[in-house]
Amino acid sequence: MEIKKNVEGNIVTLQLKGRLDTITSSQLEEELEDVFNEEKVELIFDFSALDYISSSGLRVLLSAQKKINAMETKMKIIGANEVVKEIFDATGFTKIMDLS
Amino acid sequence: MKRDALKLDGSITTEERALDGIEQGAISFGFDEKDAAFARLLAEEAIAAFSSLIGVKSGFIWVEEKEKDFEIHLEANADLGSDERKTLIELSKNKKNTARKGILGKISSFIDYIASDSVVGENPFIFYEMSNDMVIYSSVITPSGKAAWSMKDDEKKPADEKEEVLKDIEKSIIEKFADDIIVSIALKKIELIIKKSKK
Repeated sequence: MEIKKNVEGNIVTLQLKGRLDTITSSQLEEELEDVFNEEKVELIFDFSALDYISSSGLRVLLSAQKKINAMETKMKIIGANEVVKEIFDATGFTKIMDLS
Repeated sequence: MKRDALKLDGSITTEERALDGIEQGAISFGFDEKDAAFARLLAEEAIAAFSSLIGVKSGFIWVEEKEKDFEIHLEANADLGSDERKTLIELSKNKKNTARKGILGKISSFIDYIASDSVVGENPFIFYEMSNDMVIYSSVITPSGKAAWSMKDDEKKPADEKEEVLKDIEKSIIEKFADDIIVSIALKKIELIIKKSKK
């Protein structure tokens, strides 16, 4: 999986390419550790090049969402494909995350 | 047709090789890109469920193709306690241990029956089921099609129980995308079969 980070003011965009799964989720976890070391940030996940997500990836997103909630900022996910959207639906994540 | 079994040893490398093999197998079977991705997902979640639900990280995974069914088989040897047996059986669609063939299956049925919460009083339903060589775990049946995990549940749980709740993310995914889930436990031989059918 490739992760590209773009920072504009306090808005951090992470663009993910490939698969977010058991094998790659630790990569995102490390990237998020850096992000959360900063001041209050708004987080955007750009999933337009993400093929697939599994429960391991969802756990990392859930952890990020909780940190964002604690900071009282915002997190949103953009560009998810049908496979990813269906996985979000199946697990109820569409109800707790801003997926557009 | 049964494809070659791949050994899982708990390492990321072997898991990735196995998942790549399952996805390629799904494409050869005739699934489109989306369904092949779901086949890979089911295999990944099955491996994760074995690890999180019963603590098993090594075993074998293979695919069997039967007309419209693409079956992912995950097999391991482990000495499960009664709670782990129940947890795994709960994952199956019919909530039953299907290992009913041969003497090992009969012994396993008896163990399931003894371990079940239903061994109380003279429940005619349970006795009827036993006479047909089956056991029902009435206390562990969950409504099918409902996501087993929710943020609401997660928020209510104290920290030490949160890991328990998170295990259900895998179950939710398997229950949603598999057309059938079969669990077979015959003493130490455990098998999880996840079927995905051609539409």
